[in-house]
Amino acid sequence: MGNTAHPAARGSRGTRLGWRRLRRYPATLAGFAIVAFFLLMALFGPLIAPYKYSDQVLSDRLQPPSRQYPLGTDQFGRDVFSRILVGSRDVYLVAGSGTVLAVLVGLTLGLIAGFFGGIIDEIVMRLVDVLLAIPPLLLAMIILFSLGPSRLNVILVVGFLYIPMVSRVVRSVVLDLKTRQFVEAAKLRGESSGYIMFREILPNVLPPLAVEASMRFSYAIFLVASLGFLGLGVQPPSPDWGLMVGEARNYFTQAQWALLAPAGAIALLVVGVGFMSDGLRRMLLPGGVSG
Amino acid sequence: MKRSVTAVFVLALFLAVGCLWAGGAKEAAPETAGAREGRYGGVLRKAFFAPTNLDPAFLASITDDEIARFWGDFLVYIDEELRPDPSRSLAESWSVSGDGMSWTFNLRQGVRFHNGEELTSKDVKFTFDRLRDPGVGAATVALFASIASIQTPDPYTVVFRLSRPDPDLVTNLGDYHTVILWSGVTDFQRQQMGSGPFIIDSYLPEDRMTLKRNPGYWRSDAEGNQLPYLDGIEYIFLAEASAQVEALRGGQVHYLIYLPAEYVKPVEADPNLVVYQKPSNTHYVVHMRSDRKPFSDVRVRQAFRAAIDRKAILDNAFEGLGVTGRDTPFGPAYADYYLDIPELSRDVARARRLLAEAGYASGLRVTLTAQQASPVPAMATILKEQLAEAGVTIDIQLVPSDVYYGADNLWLEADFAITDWGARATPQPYLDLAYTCEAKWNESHWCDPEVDELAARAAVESDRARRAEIYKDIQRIFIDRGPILVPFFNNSLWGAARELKGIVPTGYLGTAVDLAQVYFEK
Repeated sequence: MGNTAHPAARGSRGTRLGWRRLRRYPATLAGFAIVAFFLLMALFGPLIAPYKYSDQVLSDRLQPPSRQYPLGTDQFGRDVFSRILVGSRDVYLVAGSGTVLAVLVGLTLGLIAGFFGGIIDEIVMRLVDVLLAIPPLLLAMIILFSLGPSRLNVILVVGFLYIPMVSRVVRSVVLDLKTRQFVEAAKLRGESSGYIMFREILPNVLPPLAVEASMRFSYAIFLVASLGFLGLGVQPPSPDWGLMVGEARNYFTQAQWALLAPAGAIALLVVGVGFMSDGLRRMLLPGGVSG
Repeated sequence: MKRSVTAVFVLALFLAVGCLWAGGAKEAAPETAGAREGRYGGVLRKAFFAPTNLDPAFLASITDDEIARFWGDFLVYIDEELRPDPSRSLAESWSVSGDGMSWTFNLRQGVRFHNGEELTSKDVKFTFDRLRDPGVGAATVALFASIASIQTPDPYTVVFRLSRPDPDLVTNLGDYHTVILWSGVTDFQRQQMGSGPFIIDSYLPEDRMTLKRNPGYWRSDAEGNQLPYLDGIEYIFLAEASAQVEALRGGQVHYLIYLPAEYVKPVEADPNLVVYQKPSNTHYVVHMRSDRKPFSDVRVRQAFRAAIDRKAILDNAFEGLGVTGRDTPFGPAYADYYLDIPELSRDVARARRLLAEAGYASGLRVTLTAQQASPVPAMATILKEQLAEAGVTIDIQLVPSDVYYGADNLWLEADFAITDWGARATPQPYLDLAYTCEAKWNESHWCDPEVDELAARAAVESDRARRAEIYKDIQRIFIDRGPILVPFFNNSLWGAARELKGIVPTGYLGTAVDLAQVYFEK
């Protein structure tokens, strides 16, 4: 088996090497910490939240942060802290599922286009170009206007929008790998296309794909929040962070906390995922994409 | 009462000269006659949403209505208390024949359009014939259904001949679409040829409109000074309510029609700004579509009515700025027509019982369609929590207002939805437009023969006391088995710079105030 020549076989050594490098980059460590923190909130938030996210205490509207309400209350007297805790679950669920969808479909399209080349490559890549030519938020709005806003539709939109980016990255990696010796060797051995694609090429696509996926995830968080803010995403009274910012906007002069808290959560998580993505790149692709 | 423009002009000129002559003495005694001279001047900057239509027959939005009031006048001016005001109307006086079938309007003489042509009965006939022409298709066709013909025996007399007595004719003639147009207009989108206090100077769609003072305007203040006081208006179109409020707070604009309720506190707290309020019949209808499940069962509608707390919705969605509703389109603004009963109380147990009787003992799931315009999302969010206690699960579906009222008419289709209704001068239009079987905007698809019969009787009843009794019967039916929830009637709200004076808040439909009498205090 030519597998010993696999760059992927360097994987475990490379990862260990990566961790050592990582310690030199506190931003990356912070990124991982932030992502892990919000992930814990998503998993256990509803258990530790002091209030139910939708509970309205109408006598306690627009209360500033206090011991009773750590991040204050919004215009319905709902606890902002509890809503942010529970809302992180939505972020991971919606942005995460959307990213996974984009990665799966994008990977398949990129593999097929890159490996087979020719007319198939032409068709797939031109379709991708068409999608890339339309501003993503505009495209998202058009789709959601016609499908109607719902959690599932937002996931579908995020997935759909990021398929082109993912498939382009995968395709370029595949084009590079195709000319490598271990692929040539497999061809000479008479292996099937499927075997070469999934056993020889795919493992080598995974590291750059992981980096790409983490980047897409940070974009997806932002897109989901934007759609929520515009009212096209998850519907009220869901504690979607973007929706919370949108709802609190008109009360900003009276209750800054109701807007700043979810906006800060979005910013923190997006930055965290961005740092993490940088770190993944250093760990998994020490010499750049073609390494 | 005949007054020509020249006379006003000469008078104004005399006063101006007199003022110059007297010099500083006049300034020292502001209470003497001529004090209002100092009100002249200044350009009012204001911001609001861009207009959707400039053709008077198809005015739809608040901006559309407000702009039409700048450049046009009305045969009958509906004042701030929803009464016809002859002093601001193009008709100086009017009378009805003994049988109620013929109304005669005497026009003011010497009123001129912006192009210098005199406004005569020909123009009035031209305007109203267009508004009641089914071929043109304006929303006013049904409103003027009682008019059989319009006659113009002389240039200053218009006679409306009716096919049935219509006690609401005068207020209907003051409807906001009835800006009197010059009869030579051919392009209704581009030719805003009226006789109003301001003349459109420039218009950049979606950006801004500038208007200048009409130097030949016929109205004058109590001291005989010609109106308007302002030199002009600069109307900036901003597509975002929060941006409009920030423009007001930042001093970029002087005036904001339709201040969102959640901004009342911050604007009141600003020493340079004033909030104006006026109780009105403006209300938000939560309709329950009665021609299909689940709301075809009257018990479900009654259960929803029992499950909600109207005061809590008013306080939290509209900052308590209004009065609670009784689930009828009749508000206290209609005085003796209003059925004054105590506030409907919340009874969750009754709601659960009614739902169980209707076969929804294990719960009910309904989608609530709501426009994305304050305070509708807030109302939806509170309704969801209140109805949840009665075992009803609400899925909120927010849509932009232009989708809600858009080509697909979502508002006429949805099972459960929130629609905003403006304040009409009389309650009859609500019944004719939305709550009779064949009504054009019967959004709740409710058909109650008894209401149809009562509404038809009220429409022709000239005796106010008898009419009030019919209206009260209709309200009792709404409260017993009606298709709507009306949580509250909200106050109309405006924000303005402190130096802007002469603003008289109005309870009328478009909430456009009479800007001809507004001025800057110097």
